[in-house]
Amino acid sequence: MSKAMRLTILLLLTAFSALVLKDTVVWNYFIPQDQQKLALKSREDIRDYSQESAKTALAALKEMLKADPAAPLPAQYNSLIDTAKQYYEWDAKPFPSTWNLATVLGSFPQDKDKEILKKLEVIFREQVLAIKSTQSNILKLGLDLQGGMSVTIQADLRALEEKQGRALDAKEKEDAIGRTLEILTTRIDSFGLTEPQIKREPNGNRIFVDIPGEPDKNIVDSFLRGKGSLSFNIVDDEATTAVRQYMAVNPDVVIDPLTKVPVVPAEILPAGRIIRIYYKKDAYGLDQRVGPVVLYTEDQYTLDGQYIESARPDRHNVTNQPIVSFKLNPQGAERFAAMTKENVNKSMAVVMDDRIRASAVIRQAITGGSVMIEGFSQAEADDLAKILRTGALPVEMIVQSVESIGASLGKDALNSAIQAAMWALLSVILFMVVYYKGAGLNAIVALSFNIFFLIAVLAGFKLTLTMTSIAGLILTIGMAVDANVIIFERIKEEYLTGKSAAASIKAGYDKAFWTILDSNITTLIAAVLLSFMGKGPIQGFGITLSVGVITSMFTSLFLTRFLHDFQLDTFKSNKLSITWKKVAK
Amino acid sequence: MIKPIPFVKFRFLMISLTVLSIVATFAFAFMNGGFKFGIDFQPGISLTAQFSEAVPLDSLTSEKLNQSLVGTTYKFSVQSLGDAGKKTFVFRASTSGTQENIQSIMQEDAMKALKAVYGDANVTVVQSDYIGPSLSAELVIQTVGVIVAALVFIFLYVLLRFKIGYAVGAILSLLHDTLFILGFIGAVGMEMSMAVIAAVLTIIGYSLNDTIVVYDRIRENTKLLKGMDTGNLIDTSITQSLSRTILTGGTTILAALSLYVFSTGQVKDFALVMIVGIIVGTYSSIYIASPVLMLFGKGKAVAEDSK
Repeated sequence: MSKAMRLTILLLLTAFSALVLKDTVVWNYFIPQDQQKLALKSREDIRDYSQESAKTALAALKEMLKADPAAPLPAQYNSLIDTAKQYYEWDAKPFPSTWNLATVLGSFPQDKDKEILKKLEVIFREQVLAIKSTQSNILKLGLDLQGGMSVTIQADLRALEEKQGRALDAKEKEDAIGRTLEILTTRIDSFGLTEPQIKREPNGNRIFVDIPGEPDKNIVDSFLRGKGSLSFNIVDDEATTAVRQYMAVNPDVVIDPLTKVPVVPAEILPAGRIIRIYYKKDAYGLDQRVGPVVLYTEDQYTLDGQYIESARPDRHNVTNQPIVSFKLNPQGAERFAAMTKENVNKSMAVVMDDRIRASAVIRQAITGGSVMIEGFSQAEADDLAKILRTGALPVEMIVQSVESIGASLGKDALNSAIQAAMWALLSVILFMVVYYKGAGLNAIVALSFNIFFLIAVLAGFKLTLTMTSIAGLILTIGMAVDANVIIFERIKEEYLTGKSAAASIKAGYDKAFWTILDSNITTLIAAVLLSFMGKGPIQGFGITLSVGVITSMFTSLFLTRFLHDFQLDTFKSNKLSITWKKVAK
Repeated sequence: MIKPIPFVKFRFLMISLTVLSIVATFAFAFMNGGFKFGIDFQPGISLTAQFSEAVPLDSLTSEKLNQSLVGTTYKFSVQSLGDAGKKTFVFRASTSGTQENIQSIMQEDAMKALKAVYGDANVTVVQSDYIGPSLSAELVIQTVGVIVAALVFIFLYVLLRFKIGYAVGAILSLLHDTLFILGFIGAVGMEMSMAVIAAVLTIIGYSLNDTIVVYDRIRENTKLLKGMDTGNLIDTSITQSLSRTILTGGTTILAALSLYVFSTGQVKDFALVMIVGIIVGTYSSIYIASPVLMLFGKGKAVAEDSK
């Protein structure tokens, strides 16, 4: 391979690694701490922040407008101009000659403040979400280095199989676990924790929940309560109106912290009724509270989700609007017919895990067990069909492991990991340079690139940096120079027999190549097997070591040889700086 | 040429000593109550508690703690983490119970007992781990499976690249390394944790590096030094590659040593096992892997190059 070619490969790899690590560097060194904190908050908090900031910004803009209508719009709100342009076009008015506060803000229609607030909220939201997306690409510290709680939950499908009386097929399993994941996510979100991570084991039944910081130890019990439920309930419209009126009159009504349901006096909420909140997904991907709804709880007004046989999103054959159709088993069909017959022109709510997900008006008694609900967007229909399909699947959640580490302990671990890495690096560098002189320096350059590539690969695969993966990194530092030792010893041997520098280098690399490949492959076998094993920490070690073996083979065979060849050509020297022994030449 | 060091001459003595020391470590381990298994392999809960001041271990007897645990089916054992201030201790209890919320019940019980004995303000739990029975059983199966798989794959790879004699030698030296490390772990009373298993597996992969360096040289020399007897050939090859086998292990020990010095708990155990394993691996490449080749004589198994 020509030198230009080799240099190109090296530069490409370096550029690629730098690109992968860009976000990590930006996040750690260029984003101020208060913005970091904000981006790490839950989406609910980000929504609150965006709405608050929009209000403050609007007030400020109004002040400015009052002071000087011709003042220019602050640059960060430039996207308002685009909206203003739209309004001018709709009104078929010509664009003003300049875009200033008066022309931009004046363009918004009647319900001015609300519209502008919405636009401003988008601006603030996008800012935070952009930082959040940077954060999602960075190399993160594991919980063992920053403190936190990590929980392994197994979705136990045995109860479900018993109920069905048969083994589940692949799709049913996917659905059941997918729903468990969704229930967990909703429940955990409701705690407003900082950046919880909920991940599913690829193709497995396990779900990993990572909560940084120092969460309450009992939080696990709270989000594992029950299996999640699905039911149809008839809505009490009268009581719903009464509750909403009561809340409008009493804005300071107490909200139950766990269920988020307002606490209202008994004369407003008749016996046998419960309040549940209607949620819809908003632009944050969050459940947006639409409002409280009062539901009947008596048997004749409810139907459990377990009677659902199948459900799918569909299109109405006349209006072509998105609908959801589902089928009940005979027993369920009978009960559903009775329930709908009694409650024509009332609403029926779909309640999942104590949250209302959809509601529809019953137009007539529905017999036969085939049901169709309309009034959604396509996405909502897809979502509801999934809920109905999986709603009745009783998935037991078993806690397999809970590990929690205090933040101070995590910090200590991180410091000691950094220290260990520094000393490992220092001692290896010292040894290589003292023992191999100039050639050792090449090995050190290769080692530095190796660590750089290794970290880039870890960041690229979105792996977290844990104590065990740092242990893998440290071992890689020690092992990476092994290949160079083997090569250098060989070169030295050839060189001492009187060969020229170039010939020694060529012989050294050629003869050592297979030895290095063989010995690294055996290490790789063990490391790859480790990366399949057990829980997170050992996998982290295995993956780091596997990647380290590969990158170190590349740097020690390819990069150091390039450096040697380059130095020989540039300095036109026939001397090698590789040993302290006297060479007879 | 450098004068070969007569390694092979002492092979029977060295192998006997090796076998003896492995037997001795195992015997020692079993005399001291057998192998200790960490929480990864024994379902239960482990709490690391930090006391505000140094606590002498004798006052921390588990009985005192267990006395204040009323009506529970499990008992806690106490162990010092060996930190400099003697303030950190690990409390452990195993359970095979599958009842709901067992992890938080046990944790609360332990906290209550700790606070009852030592007072509310003096103790904080800095780390807690719970492993359920299903995961624990799975890990045992995985560990055995992965170690066997590693040995089989490595055997096949060496077989592919060398001849059968080499492959047998490599596997025997790996078995030696594994047994020696296990004996060492048992003898020093180290707890078998996932980190320790990871170290054992890493050694299985890594300690073969030295063996391969020596084997490569032997293979090369069978062509260069025709007519030399096998013993002499092996001695010459080991001597020629000795600097390599020692230096490669040496740099890795440098790294493992820094890890050992600066880490605590399981990672420290991991580093110690690595250090011992690297030394043992270098030794076995000389005294186990190479003498095995002599069993196969100078025949086909050794001399012919499969490359």
